[in-house]
Amino acid sequence: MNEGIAGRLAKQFINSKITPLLMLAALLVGIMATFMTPREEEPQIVVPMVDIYIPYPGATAAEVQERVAKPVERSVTEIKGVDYVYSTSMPDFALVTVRYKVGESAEESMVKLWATLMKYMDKMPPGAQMPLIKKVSIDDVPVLNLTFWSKDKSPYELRRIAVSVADQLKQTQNIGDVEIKGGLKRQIRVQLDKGKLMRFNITPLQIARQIQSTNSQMTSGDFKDFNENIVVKSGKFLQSKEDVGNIVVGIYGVAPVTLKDVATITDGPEEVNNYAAFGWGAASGEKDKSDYPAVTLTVAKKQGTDATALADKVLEKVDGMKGSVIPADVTVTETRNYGETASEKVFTLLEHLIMAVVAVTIVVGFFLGWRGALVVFMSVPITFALTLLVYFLLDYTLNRVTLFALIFVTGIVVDDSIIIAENIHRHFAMKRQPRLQAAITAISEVGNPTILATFTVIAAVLPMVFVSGLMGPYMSPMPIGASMAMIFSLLVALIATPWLSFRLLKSDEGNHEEYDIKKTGYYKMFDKVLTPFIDSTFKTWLAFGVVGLMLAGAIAMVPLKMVEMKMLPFDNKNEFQVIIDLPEGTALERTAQVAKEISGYLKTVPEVQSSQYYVGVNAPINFNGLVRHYYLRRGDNMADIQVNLVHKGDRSAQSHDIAKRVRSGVQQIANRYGANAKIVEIPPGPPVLSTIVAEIYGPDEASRVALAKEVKKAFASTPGVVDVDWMVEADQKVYDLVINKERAAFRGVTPEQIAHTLRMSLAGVDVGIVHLPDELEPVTIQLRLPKADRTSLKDLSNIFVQSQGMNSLTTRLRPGQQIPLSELVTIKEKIQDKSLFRKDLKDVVYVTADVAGVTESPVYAMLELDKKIEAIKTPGGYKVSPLYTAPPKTGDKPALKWDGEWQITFEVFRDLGTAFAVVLVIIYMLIIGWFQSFKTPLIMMISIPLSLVGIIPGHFIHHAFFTATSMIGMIALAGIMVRNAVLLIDFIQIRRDDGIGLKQAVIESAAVRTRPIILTSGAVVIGSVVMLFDPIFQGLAISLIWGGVLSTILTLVVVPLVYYLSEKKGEKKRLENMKSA
Amino acid sequence: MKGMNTRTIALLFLMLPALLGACGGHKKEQTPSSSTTATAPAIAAKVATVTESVDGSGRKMLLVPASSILRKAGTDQVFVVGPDSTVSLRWVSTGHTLGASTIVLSGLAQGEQVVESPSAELREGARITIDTHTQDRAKEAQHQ
Repeated sequence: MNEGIAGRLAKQFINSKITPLLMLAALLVGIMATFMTPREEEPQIVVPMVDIYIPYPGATAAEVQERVAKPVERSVTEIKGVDYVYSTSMPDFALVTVRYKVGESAEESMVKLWATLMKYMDKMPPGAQMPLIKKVSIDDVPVLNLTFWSKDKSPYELRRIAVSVADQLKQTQNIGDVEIKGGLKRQIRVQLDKGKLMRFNITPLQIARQIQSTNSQMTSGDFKDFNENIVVKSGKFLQSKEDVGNIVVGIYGVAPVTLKDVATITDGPEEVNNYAAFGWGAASGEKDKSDYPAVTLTVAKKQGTDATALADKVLEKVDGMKGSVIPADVTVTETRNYGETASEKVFTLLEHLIMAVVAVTIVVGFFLGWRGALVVFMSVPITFALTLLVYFLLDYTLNRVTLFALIFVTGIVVDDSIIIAENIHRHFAMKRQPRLQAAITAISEVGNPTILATFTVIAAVLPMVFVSGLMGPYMSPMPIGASMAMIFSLLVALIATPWLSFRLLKSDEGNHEEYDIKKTGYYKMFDKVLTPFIDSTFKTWLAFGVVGLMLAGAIAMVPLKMVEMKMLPFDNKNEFQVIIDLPEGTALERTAQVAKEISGYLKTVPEVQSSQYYVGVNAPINFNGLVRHYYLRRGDNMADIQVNLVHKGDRSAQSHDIAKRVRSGVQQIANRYGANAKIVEIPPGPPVLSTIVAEIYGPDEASRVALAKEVKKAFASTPGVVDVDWMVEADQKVYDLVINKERAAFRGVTPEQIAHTLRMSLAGVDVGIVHLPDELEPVTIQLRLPKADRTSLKDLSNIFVQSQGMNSLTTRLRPGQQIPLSELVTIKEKIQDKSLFRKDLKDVVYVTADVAGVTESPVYAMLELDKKIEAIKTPGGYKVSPLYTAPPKTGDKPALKWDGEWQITFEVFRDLGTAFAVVLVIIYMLIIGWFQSFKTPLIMMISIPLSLVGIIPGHFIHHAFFTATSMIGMIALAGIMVRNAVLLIDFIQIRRDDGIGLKQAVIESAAVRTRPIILTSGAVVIGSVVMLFDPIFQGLAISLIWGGVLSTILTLVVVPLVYYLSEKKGEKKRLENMKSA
Repeated sequence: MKGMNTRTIALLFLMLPALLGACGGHKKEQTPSSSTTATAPAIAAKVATVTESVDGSGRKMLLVPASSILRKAGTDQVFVVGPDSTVSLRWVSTGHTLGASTIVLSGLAQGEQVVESPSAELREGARITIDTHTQDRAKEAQHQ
């Protein structure tokens, strides 16, 4: 017999002393890799995204868009590799977000962007300032949040403690950004007294100038004397509140006026600009349900480092600081620890992996006995050890996806070993040759088909690498890990399995009957089942009809909505956030009141461990916040609530169900205050702006907003569509102080003076810092009117500016005269400019929503909405038909395009569909190469659609969504099922070549091949059972299990029948030919 | 292949519970969390109503007793009396103090009730009893 590659390899290693050493080495390397590979929960998704902030002070939103945003957008669109360009134009400032194609190098992209921006800087209008360019990356998401809270300490004191802790933590290895959310900074506040300023004839501008010029120190130079260089310094920095107070700001009569004469100077907390608080929830077991002032210290990690190790190190350090840096009355609570969750996830998955291997081993044990099972059991760890090493070498981290790739292939990687071990077992049992010879013969016999089969399965999974977009890197460890594992399993099957089998498998002792296939149970069964069909063409067609109906019925479940499609279902997490927006112009304290009430409600939810609210400042962001720009949420009308649930092991409800349950309660409170509250869960896959996004295009802003309003109404009236919002700000009243330029000129005042004075009085101006080397955060000196003195327009109008006298246009006035602002300005009330949005060079208005309850999949909500949107009458009388795949070509008609999760779903299913088509072609070619026939591969591929009969009803039975992972399962199953058909038909042909009749050959091969087919399919099914309990990979498990079971059964019946039908005609001729030969 | 049937049956038994067990998710009994709303004894407190007032130039403002404001390093809070006589802390922003009253710039609405000179043991969520003496004072304040 021709030994082939497989036989030769086995001969080399079956008795070699090096084999056990290789096995041991592989195992050790794998164990090492497991501990050295960084662990994290989510895979590293590189979203090469860059935010460009361009300040253009004084300009209106429309002006900012026209002068700054548009030119920048146009220039960055030219850059190769740029996928999307978004812009937001607000008064005074533009934000352009550039998103590169996934996989572009972040550094290169930044350089290109910088070069392009610089090229166009000369086209910027005067007044626009240098852009600030910030790269956004997944590593900006903090992995560890520590909330410092106290019953007695104020936000100011808490922040100071947190800052000193942060300072020490910074020294930790692999630590990324450390930030502090909430609390009040130390500041020297100079609160001007309007009355005294008036009396001493001093203006705010004058004071600012004085402080700035006093706060300087420099080296003046040196001189030489007696061979020595003597350095001269002059000036002295301000170092304390007293220094600031003693600055002479004017001369009144003959006496100097110091700053403390005209202002109250305090050294302490800055004016309140945020509120942050912490409170225990119902599940914490704490009796005290009050909220306490809190600040949160967030810790991010460096790219590619282990979240667990970092979190542990930081926590240890913080523990060490308790009692010294952290006083006893300050409690430090972990409010996020992705290190812990990552470690937990990884170990749960490793546990699942072991379970899968054990389950598969038991199945093998049923067929091959415990010795056979042991052979298989020992070869799997070696395969996985090597795959883990590849992960380590390819810089993958151990995360949910990489480990699932392993569980996913557990059932498949044992196949090669099973086939080899089974055949050796069979040959040992036959006792026709000495043991060594028998083993090598056995391997040579099945080795080559095994290699083909392995490559068939690799051909099925590998094209998934080509999924583009954000989902690509998320899923790529699956095909790569699975393919690697397959190749290693093949090597293990050809090298280690023979060695193990040769030593472990025993030849069956005792009397041995002559082997007769007709006596086996399988044969009797198939004889009974297949004969009636083979004998009667009518029955054959009837059978095909039934199978066809089953298939049609299964597929019909999709349009009937019995099985719904969704990109990815929600994972069971330990946290979610509530994002609260009040109408623009709402005071901070009112926002705080709403946040506190909602937080108070959330704390009564039985599964809530703790809740923190952040008003006026954003909560530590999660993965979602990165894409949604939640890190820019800063304003009196905004609040975020971070809700931490008890550990998922201690509750029965999934986090998604809890989020759904609390939504109505949260929104009830929000509605009472006219607020918009959204429940934001951690996305299972790549984050998007919102689950449902309607991008509204149109000729002008008014028509876009009008359409958006109608669309928003349609959203709100559709059941299952929740958290409806739009990115159109509420009308905010602003007072426009119009300067009477003529009068100002006559009084010797410049408009610039007025603008600066007003800004100083209201917003306050930082005029410098006090130089305190020991202070960890810079302490600024802020000049401002006291809060109590800037509460009304009347307060504003009696601010004074000083005439410039001779220095100005007028010559009639003496300089220094105080002129009240009310003389120079007239007050106009108007509505604040709203932000303008653009996407890919088109003006757009976004309407966003989430889905929960009636429908969980955005696609169905969108189809429902389509009808309502088509009924909307637009001003021009146009009918709006929502677009699904591309934005409208022209902007002159109102249009709507769906985006959000749909966009990713569309891309993923499109790419997976294409991958599936490529898989089919590759498999077809592989089999043609093997069987040298164009017809046979088609018969084998019949089993592929048959898997749908199991897959779709399987999803229905489990009440699960058909997700992207289900699709992956379906693709992988195609490879496995074709391999089964290959085994079947290969054997029929061997039997027919032996001269056996077609009918007999068909029944016989079905009988003989049933055992390996059931064994390998059974391994896949059993290996997948552990995945059923993971919300995300449930779809994959259902596909593999139900698809595997049903299509195995159908394959064993349908494929032989089809083969029989197709070969029946030529059968007589063939037999005659064989006889004559 | 003797014993194939027994093995197959055993295998099916192995698979069935696994498959069925996975159908439709796994529901565990939910342990009801013990409610911790202990009925602490009510604390007697004086209560004042947030009143609207008009200053000399006709500008409206909200006033609360200066003693009701808890000042702590830059932040101000008051105890607001809820519908069921429980109190909750509320952040407020304050302006000038005029005699015994302080102007509230934001955080409170007219007609809301706040605790005057809250005692140190008063905590969020505590129940209070309003002593009548205070009621009179509240009325007085309104008359003024």
